[in-house]
Amino acid sequence: MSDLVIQILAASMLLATPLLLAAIGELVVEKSGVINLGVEGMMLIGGLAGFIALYQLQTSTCTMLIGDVCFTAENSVNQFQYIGSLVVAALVGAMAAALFGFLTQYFRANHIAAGLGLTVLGAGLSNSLGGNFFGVDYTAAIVASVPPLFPENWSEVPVLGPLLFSQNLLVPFSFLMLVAVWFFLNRTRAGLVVRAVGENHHSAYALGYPVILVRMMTIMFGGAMAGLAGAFIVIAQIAPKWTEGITVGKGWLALALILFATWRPGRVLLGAYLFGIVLALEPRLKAIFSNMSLEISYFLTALPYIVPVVVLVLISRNPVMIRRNAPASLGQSFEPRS
Amino acid sequence: MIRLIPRTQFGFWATAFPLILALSITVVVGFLVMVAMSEQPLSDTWTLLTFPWQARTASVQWGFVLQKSSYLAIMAVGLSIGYRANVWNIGAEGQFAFGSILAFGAYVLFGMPDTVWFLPVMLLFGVLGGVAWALIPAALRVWANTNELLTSLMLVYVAANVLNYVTTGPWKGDPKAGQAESDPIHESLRIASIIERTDFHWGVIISAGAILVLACVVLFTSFGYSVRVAQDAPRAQKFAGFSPQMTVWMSFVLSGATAGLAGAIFLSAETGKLIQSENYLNGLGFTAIVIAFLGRLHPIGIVAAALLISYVNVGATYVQSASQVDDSVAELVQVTALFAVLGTAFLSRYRVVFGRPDLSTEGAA
Amino acid sequence: MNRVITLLASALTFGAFAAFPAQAETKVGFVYVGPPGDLGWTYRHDIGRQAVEALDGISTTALENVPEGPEAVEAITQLAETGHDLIFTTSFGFMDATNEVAGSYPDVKFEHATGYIRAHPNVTTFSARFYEGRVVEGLIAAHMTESNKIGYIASFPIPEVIRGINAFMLEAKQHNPDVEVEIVWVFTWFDPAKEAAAAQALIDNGADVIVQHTDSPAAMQIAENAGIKAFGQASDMSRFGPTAHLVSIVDDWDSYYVDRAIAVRDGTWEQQDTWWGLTKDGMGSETGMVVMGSYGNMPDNVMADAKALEAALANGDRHSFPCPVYMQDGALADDCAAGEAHLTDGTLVGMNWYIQGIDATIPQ
Repeated sequence: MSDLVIQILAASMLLATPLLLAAIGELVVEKSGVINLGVEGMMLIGGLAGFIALYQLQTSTCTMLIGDVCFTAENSVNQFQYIGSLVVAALVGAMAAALFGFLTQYFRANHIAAGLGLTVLGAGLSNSLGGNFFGVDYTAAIVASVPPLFPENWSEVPVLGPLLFSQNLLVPFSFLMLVAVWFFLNRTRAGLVVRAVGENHHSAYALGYPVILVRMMTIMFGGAMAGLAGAFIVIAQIAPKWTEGITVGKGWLALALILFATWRPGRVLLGAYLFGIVLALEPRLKAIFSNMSLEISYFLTALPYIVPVVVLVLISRNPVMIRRNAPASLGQSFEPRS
Repeated sequence: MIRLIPRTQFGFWATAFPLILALSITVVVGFLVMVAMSEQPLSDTWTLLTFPWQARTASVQWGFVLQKSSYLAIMAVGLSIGYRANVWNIGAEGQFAFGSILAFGAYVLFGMPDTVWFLPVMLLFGVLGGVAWALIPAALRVWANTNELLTSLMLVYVAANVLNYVTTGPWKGDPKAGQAESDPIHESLRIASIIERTDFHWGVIISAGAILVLACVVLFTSFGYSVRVAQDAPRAQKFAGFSPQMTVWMSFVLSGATAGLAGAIFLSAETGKLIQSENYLNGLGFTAIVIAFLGRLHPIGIVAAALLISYVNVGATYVQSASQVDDSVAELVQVTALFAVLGTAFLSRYRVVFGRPDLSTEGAA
Repeated sequence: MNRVITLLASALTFGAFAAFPAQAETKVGFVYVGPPGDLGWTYRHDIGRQAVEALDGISTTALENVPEGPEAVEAITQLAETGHDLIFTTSFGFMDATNEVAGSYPDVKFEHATGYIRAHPNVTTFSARFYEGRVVEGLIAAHMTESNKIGYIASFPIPEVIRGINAFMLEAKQHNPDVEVEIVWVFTWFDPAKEAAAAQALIDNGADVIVQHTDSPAAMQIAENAGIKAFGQASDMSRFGPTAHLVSIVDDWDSYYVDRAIAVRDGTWEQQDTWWGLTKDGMGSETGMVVMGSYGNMPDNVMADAKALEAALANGDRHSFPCPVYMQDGALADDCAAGEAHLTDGTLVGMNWYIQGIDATIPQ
């Protein structure tokens, strides 16, 4: 029984980490007063970019390259190659977000439309480039799996082994990032500026803060985090492989997460793991109760999407809490009054 | 120095110029995409632009264009009403699915009738299905203050699961089938083609009629007026006596109705049966959102945008069949158009002025 | 007079050139449900396409990632509209679309994989007796399992999949009466994430051999990671599981596609329904549509037995479902009760019951 619990928790870490990464990024964006709905698109294009980078890095040092596929003996990549691919993913995510940033900050486009457009762009670009990027078909590419951060035998340790020591480096990174963002927003001057811009961009402008610049930077940060989240989804599987639409709505879950967490970093962590556990439960419950009725089986499949709705309703019933925590100029276009 | 001064006069040029600019940007970028993706870009671009005349049967090609644009336009017009009032229904795909489900459900409920007179009932149930599914996020917004954008989106995934459930459970059809599907509805309930062998069917006419009705609602009714007002001056709406709750309800009802109608027409005209969501739903609901923005939330603009985008889409599959150019060209053109329209929209509200401000002649705008 | 003759001659020559279309090639179109990069189902169809492309006077076009359902109508129609003479639609879900378009283009030939409706004379259907491979897998699994628990990842509860499960278990029980199978229905043909999750869940529940009737190598990779054994599907999956891979059922469409393409080019195409297995006629003739690939990771005697079984199935000495076959409730199957030596094609085509020894119910 406890074995099962450990398995579910370990799986939920895998599922919650991309949500956490994307949500932290978008949290900062929203704290500065911008809603970027394009998280799903940025995750997709960032994920593809990270996958392409990892594949290229792997094959460049490959000792046995047959056609486009690498058949080395080690069957794994090293951490430096992994980090390199993550950097690429973050950069591409940031660039995609910058496009959104230009549209909304400089061209005063409607935030919702631009965000949805970014989602469509990310999905479309990743689909077409995934099939053919400079001659390589990345839906056929096989990349070796990334080893965990800690040495192999540490993962044999009971309980903590599968939970902590067999995870890849983005998992502790996500926790670190959460703490860093909390610290940044609440304990640094720069974070104060970000929050000020989000609360009242006119006053902030009057005080001499470069509103548009601040927003562009938070938007790009959000994009970088979304790119990392996408890369994690693609690469952290046991068999890293790129398929179209691999994120299956996790970007939207991240957005719901922030709302659910009422823009507080600690709650984002809670929410991410709640969603992660729900996602992890689904196949396991199905395997255990293999004779369950069709109705319950489909209910379980829909659960990861019903839970956010329920949770949102519960949170929203207290409008005071939302008003207290929501950045007051969220979603409003900034138009400097000269 | 480049500055933006709010316009005080809105002539024809104020609206036309940004659209022309957006169109030009799209054409240029589209051509660049073609250059990147094809080995004979000029010839392939020409094929993309003139494919109905190059194909074996022009009427088939036009049939596809009209059919695709009818679904997109009807859903987009419904959605645009809410978008003007900042009511964000992005769950049209789910309402579409539920419309199909309820239309099929009506067929089963009434004992699988085999007369064409039942078709209006099916379509009506499709509308009701879409409305019912749309009322959920509406209710959550009005009664529990919940963000309707996220709830309507999550419900899309739930609706897809419901579709999968009914096609593998209570309404499961032929056991030999290699995909989850229901039994087909009776022949007489299938919407017929207007032109033989093409996809141009009566559903297109029905959708066109619905679009006309909705356009009249937007342009000539007091509700339509309140919605148009809401877009430009949200608080004026309240002062004039239009309740924001009513706006939310009506927006979701209308957009749910159009999506449900589209779903019912799709069921009858295209497949005649329900299929698992991976094969049945093709993102029409989401493309309709893009079309709504492309058409600047105006019924005429939406129809034009739907036709243009559908033309490019059909042309892209033609070009792909003729010279193996990947048909993602269409998607990229679509996104470029969207970004171009969004990026140039401000030009209709602002004048672009170069040079330092001359404080003597420019007072407060 | 000379002038007139010259003029007439050149007119005739030019006329001849104009009458002959520049492309006298036969154009063959392929409609794929996924990308050739799936390294499974579509990958093998694309290999078949390459075999056709290599023929004289034939060129091919492939449309990939075509959604099953109404969108397929447009894709298939466009192939017909751009002058293709033969179109292969490579997934069940294209059945309605193929027949609909075939009605509008009587001069174009259509070949639909795994379908059973031929609404017009220009539509042919074809499928492979994949279940023959399952028999071999059953033998191997019976010997290789230590926990006596087999994990089976199944897509849809349709006859093709149920046939596979039955063939597998029928043979496995012959060699190891204690073996049991646990089946997870994923309701998709290709979804690496779902397949991986199902495989992991089965392994967590004690299975030490994984069988799949889905198309991605995800389950094989999960098995490799867990240190257990697995069978590949649709294409040779040995490189995804160097220590896990036992054998793969490989789809081999080459000879069928080449036959049909040549028939269209030479004008001898006729409507038919083809169901090939390890060999074209089940009697030892040339390779059909099913090939067993890359035996490995098993003791030599098991491999020898498996290969012998494969040969016996190929040349007709053995049938996949030899009588007596008992249904789940213990009753003898109708064909066997009627005195047949093995289950007939008619029974196999519509098979929707489990054999005795499978402790599960088919999802209804």
